[in-house]
Amino acid sequence: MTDTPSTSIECRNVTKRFGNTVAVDDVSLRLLKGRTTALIGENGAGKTTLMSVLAGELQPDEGTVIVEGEERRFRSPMDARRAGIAIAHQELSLFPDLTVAENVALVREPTRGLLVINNSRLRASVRGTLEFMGISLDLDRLVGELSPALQQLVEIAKSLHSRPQVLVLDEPTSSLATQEVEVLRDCVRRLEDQEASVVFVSHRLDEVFDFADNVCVMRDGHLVAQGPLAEYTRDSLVTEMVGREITQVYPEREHPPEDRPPFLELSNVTAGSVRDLSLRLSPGSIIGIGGLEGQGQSIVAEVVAGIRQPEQGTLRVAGEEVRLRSPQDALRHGIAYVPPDRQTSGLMLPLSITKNTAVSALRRIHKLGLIRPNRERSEVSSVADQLSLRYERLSQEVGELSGGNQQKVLFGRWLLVPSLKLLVLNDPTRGVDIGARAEIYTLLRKLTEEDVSILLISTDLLELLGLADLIYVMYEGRITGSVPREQATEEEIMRLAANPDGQKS
Amino acid sequence: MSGSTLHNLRATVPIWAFTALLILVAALLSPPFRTLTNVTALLSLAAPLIIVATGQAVIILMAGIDLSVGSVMSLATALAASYATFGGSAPVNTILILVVGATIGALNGLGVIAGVHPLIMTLSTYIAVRGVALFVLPSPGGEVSGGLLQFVTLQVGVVPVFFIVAVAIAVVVWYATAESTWGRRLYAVGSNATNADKSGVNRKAVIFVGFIVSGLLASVAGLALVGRLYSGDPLAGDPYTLNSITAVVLGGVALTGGRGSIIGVLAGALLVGSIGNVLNMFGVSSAYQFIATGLILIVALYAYNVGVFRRDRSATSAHLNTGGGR
Repeated sequence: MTDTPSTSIECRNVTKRFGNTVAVDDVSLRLLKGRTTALIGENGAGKTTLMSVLAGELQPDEGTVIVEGEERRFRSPMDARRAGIAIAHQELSLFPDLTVAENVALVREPTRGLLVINNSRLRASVRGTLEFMGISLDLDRLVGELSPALQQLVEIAKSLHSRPQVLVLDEPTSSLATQEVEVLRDCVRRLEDQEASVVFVSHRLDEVFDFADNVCVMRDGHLVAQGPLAEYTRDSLVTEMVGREITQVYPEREHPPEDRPPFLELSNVTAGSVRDLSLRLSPGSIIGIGGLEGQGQSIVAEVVAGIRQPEQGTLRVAGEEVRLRSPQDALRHGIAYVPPDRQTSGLMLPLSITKNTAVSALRRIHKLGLIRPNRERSEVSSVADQLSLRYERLSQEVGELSGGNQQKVLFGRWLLVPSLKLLVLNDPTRGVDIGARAEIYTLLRKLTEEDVSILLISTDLLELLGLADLIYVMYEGRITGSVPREQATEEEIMRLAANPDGQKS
Repeated sequence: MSGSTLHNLRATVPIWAFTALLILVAALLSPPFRTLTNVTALLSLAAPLIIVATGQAVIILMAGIDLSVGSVMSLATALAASYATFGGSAPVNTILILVVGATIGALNGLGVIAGVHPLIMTLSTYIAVRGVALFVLPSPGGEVSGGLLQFVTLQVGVVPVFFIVAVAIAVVVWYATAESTWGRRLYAVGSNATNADKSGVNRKAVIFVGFIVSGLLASVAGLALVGRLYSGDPLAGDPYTLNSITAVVLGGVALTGGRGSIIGVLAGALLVGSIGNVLNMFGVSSAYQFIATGLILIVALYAYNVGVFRRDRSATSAHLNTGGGR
């Protein structure tokens, strides 16, 4: 490494809007050769959008990308790839029906003649990339058969395969265990030795200090801090990320939860990768389930929501053993589910706010099968007020709203269910800005005061720490521990989340 | 051969076994089925379906659908039966037919690239091209050029040459989809178009080429149909639209794209093409052949999706093997 590393790539005054939302607002950023820059910020701060601009996947509305001193316009990811920029996505860009080797080498297949793929050279080249990463994988396994951790490594290998000068790793460790994170860190060191620039996008501060030399902090689309990591402490980074004291975001509970018989009780439930799981949830409390992504948390949510039937074990609702055969079944017991991906599995984007919200209340607002528009409108607008929803008209398409407001509409749907007893939330604030989050948290707190229980599944540690009365942590389908609110720390939860007893199964 | 090619080939074993079993049982039990005349009839019946289903499979592998193929086949027969007006000689007429097929495919491709849903785009061309076919040849008949007719009805022993051509086309297109860079991109686009974009796949080019292949193969299938009709028919291709989709789905290609093999489609086409013939040989009314095909399709779909043949894609707890390159 030279003493004054030169710039490899630079964003100048980049702005990117989606509809009315400004995802990235006038951001200038410079990456140095042979250095790793951490890009941190909360969910929805604009990190991924900015990186998508760098990688040619999104075109900026304003501003330029400058590579090696030359202004460039990337019209496609291929353009960026040719300029030496590659990205490993948080939402993996893999193909489950192709093998490891085929995924890694996609679009860079060596050929015999013009078109026929040379499989032996392809495998050799992929083997080289995996060796560089310091891992070995079965090249002929279909990626769809791999565990989330291995898939994430394949995604990283795919981005490395083009030997990029600039490598963006977007939340590369979300499914990785400690040992695998170390392998990745060594690999990043080797890239630095080769004078590559690495961007490490994360919100895990420990890893940030471990991986990076410099740091950039984004908040609500702005770049709020930038500089050598040595100038920051953990706490100062958190303050930059959040922009205010965390405690202000999470409303305090006014009445402590009483010790009452649980509303929901899972005993020894086995379903899919979830093994022998037991948990209980008392009325008016918030139970959190944390852990790395894809450790079976979603399966638990689906079991409780009636989407998935457990293979073994029992479910008790209000003391009575039940079988929830469908989401409708769960709803009859007062259990509603907010799925993680609001756009594909929650909302009907082309439909209006009213239609999206009132769908749960159709039974109450119809007369002889015809919807009573006045009743519908009054119910929906009262919910919109409760949620402090920001909209122009109730007939507006939900797809036009910002992420946070979309999420509120999804919540609002269940607020119209008078018999609501339990709200199951799966990553409820992903991509939601801090303001809307605070409003959602306040709403959740209000619901618990009304004796509604909440099962909160989240990969966001701060969210769990701020809201949950008790946090269960999952690893590979099992609960590795539970931490009550008073004793919960980030470190303790991370310890349980990543390789709990220091053993690998 | 690449890994996913082998995976996809392995999945075609059940449909091949079923098709072979059906033909074997029919041959054992029915003397009329195993006559040489019937073999010839069966194979010439299968040829156009194999060709058009191969093109359809290319489209379905990229999660599209091509409803226009039936009309393109009809138009091909109509043009062949009006060769005096269209080309004058056999070679010119044939080239014209192929160019027309490819052009209709290219139009479909352009529409889909521009954002029209493939179902709507190809439904439009299906309707419009049917009109063109009726314009070219208002009623069945016409005169096919001697040279073309001779070629499409040629036989080697009891095997129609066009059946061999059909199988050769299926194999070549299978190889291209399984082992060429274009094919790899085709599967990628079908599996997940967004991820294909992110991976640097030129999605528009892949779609465009795919639809040209489908249109071109539909016109070749039309020529194969001329070999059975000995004339033109402006509506003769109609059933092939749905039959080709049936053959593709029976062959194990997922309608959602990105999974399956054209080798399986070959079996699917043979199965769809022979069910009617087999039942006929047992004196079963032809009405039952549709009921039978429908039932087989449902059972096959069940088997592919929830039954024993399903590929298990649940995440296993395979673990990282660290080593090398430090």
